[in-house]
Order: sequence, then C-alpha cells, then structure tokens
Amino acid sequence: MDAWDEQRLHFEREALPHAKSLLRTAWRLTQSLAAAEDLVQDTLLVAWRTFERYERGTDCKAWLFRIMLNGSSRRRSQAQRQDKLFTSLDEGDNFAAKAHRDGAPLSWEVEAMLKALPEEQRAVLLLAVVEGFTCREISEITNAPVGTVMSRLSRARAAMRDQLLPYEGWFPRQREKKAHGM
Amino acid sequence: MECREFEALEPAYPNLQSGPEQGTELAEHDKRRLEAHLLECSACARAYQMRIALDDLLRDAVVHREVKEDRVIAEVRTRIASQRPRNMQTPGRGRGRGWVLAWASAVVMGMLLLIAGAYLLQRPAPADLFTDAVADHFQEVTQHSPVEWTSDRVVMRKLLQDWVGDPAIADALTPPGFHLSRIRICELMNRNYLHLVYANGAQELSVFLRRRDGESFSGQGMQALHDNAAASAVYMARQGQIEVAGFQTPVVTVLFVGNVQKSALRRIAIHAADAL
Repeated sequence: MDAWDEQRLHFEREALPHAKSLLRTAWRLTQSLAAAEDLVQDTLLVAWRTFERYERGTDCKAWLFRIMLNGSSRRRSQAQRQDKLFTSLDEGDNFAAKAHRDGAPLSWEVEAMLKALPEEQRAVLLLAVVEGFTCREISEITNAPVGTVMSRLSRARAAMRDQLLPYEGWFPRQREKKAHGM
Repeated sequence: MECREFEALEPAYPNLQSGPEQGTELAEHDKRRLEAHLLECSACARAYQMRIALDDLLRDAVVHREVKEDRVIAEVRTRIASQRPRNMQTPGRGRGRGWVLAWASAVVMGMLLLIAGAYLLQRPAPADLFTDAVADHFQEVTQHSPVEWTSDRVVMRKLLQDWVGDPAIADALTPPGFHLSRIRICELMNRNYLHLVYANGAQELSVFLRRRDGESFSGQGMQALHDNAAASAVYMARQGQIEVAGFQTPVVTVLFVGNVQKSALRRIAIHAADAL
C-alpha cells in the first residue's frame, strides 16, 4: 500500500461517513435533491484534494460542513435562480393557517415551514438542531460571530414557533390547556 | 438573572437536561444561573420546554424524509480512483501489484455500483412516495410556488411522448370535467416524474406519472381497493386534508393527489385505471 492508498483509506474512514449528514443539510439548503447531490459531491472532492490540510483528530464533520457552506455561498447566484424555481412561500404567507388546524403538523408541513426561513437562519437551525453542532462550532463553520449565530438561531426558532401557532397539538401543554378549558 | 439575559444565553444551551458533556458551551457558572432562573420563572420555563419540543419536531421531520447518500459516495469513489497519479506506481513488482490493485478496485467499485443500483431499483418507497407527492402538490399547486411549468400543448405532448411513450395517456387520465392545465418534471423519492395538473375552474388535481421502472406500492397508511374492473389495484392514503390515490399498470406508475373528497378521488383513480 502506497501513500496514496493510505490517504484514500483515511479519507474513506474520516470523511465519507458524513456524506448523509451533508446531503440532508444540502437538500434543505438548495431545495433540490439533484443540486444537493452535486453540492455534496463537489464538497467531498474538494475535501479529498485538500485532505492533507485536514488535521487528524480534529472534527472532520465540521471541516466538511465548512467546505460545503463555502461552496454553497459561491453558488449563491445559482441558488438565487433556483430560489425562483423551488422556494414555496411568499413573505408573510401564513403557511400553517392554510393547513389543517387540529393536531401536530405533519413532517412535510414542518419541512415547508423550514423552507420558508431565510437561508442563513435555515442553515444555522439545521446545523444546531439536526446535526448537533454547538454555536461556537457553527460560528467557525459559517464564518459568522457567535453572537450572530445565536441571534439567527433565536430568530429561526421564533419564526418556526409563529408558523406553528395554528397547530394546537404540536406542543403538549397547549393540548393540556385546551383540555382544561383554559 | 433577568429574563432578557436568559433569552440571550439560552440558545447556546443545547439541552439543560443533557448535561455539560453534550456540547454545552456555557461556563458552569452560567449554566447554574440559567437553571436557577428556570426554577423561578414559569414563563421562561415554558418557553424553554417549547424550544425543546420544537427542536424535537424539526429533527423528527428531517429524519423522516431521509436521504440516500449511496449514489454520491459511489460517484466520489469513482472520481477519486480516476485521479490516482500514475507516478505513484512503482516499477517492477510494485507496478504489477498496482495493476492488480487497480483491477480489484474497479471490480469492487463495479460491484458496489451494481448493489447500489439494485437497491435503488428494488427499494420500496410507497408511504414516503405518497408523502413526497403530497408535499409537491401542496407546495407547487396549492401554494402556487413559483416553479417552472409548461402549458404549451406541443411541449406537453413532447414531454409525454419522451417520458411515457404515448401522449394519449394524459387524455386517459383526465378526470371527468377537468382539462390538462400544465406540466413540469419533478422528483419524488429520487426518481423523476411528470407532474401534470388538471383543472376544472374551481379545483386543481395533481397527477404524478412515470414509466414504470421497479417502483412499487406497499406499506403503512395505504389502503388497497379492488372494486375496479381493471387489473390494477388502486391504493389510497390521506395526508392531512389531502388525498392520494395511486395505481400501476405494466407500463406506468400514476399518483392522483388533491384536496378533494376521498370518494371523489377514488372514482377518478378507478376511472383512470380502467381507461388505461
């Protein structure tokens, strides 16, 4: 086994297991599975080309997300074109109010609410809640100050909560409150 | 601690119950102050519980619509293998071993691609396929999201010819009183479909159509109907206020989606299945 093979095996062990996480976040950012697959493929190939710069023992997942989000912002003009094709909700359009008002929202309804968030809020929310990164890690991944990350996270959660208001069943205490005639 | 300070610090706290080893970024001192505030302020405690519930809801939704990364990984492996520098191969015995390794890699890669391909073809996706179709209908038809459609008759016929081999299928699928309004190409569960919208002036119905290619219907939340004259069983499911009905002929897979009465969609689907 030569140095190239060793490097490739190391890459297989360290980087490729994060492909699923990259893809599910990329899908929500680009709004298109085909675009997400392209973005993740490019991310992994950039990571492979620069893998010698990756410091063993550090957080490979965070490193890959940083590459992906950098690549994503380079594609911003393309993404803006795709926004015209794929984004679903106009500003101020109350998605949930048009949906059914009983019980918790369905998965695709939550996805639609997520889609309605501005991209930087959506990214921070996904990185924090789904991928489990801390605010400090997200700050490094997105090149934004920690305070900005926390503020985006708060605004994203507040926007999601607003969209969930018509769903009486999403939060157990709302159901309890209703049951007790409050 | 004031509520305002709690609100500012709280986002940095992934989950107070999970303890400092779960990625907590705050100093132990701040954590204790946050916990103390939660005990004395019911409004912040409720907001905090709501945030945890919201995070759970979001996480479940994203995981529910899971993605398959196999195709990307296979492509990346192929691209990396093709980039192997020739000067890494040493002369003599090493070179021979290099060729053996290259062939072995190619064989392994081919097998992986075959396995991935077979998996993608045989993967049953019905419940998720129905969910995906409902989501597309809701976003693109109910919400009128600005996606690209074509209403040009010539282009629509060309699309139908190219994708299902016979433009007349669109006529056979037309619900009574409706007309074909527009078409676009979409993606459901990693497969491309034609998304046809039929309108009658008051309502719009989506039809997702593709040439049958290994996808099958089965799974939770679906109900099979066998009271149509055609050999194709019609499957129905409901997502929120939206009904879905699907059937397959030997040639095509068809899904009807609409915010209509179940009995009405059932009649429409049976009518179409019989017509095909």
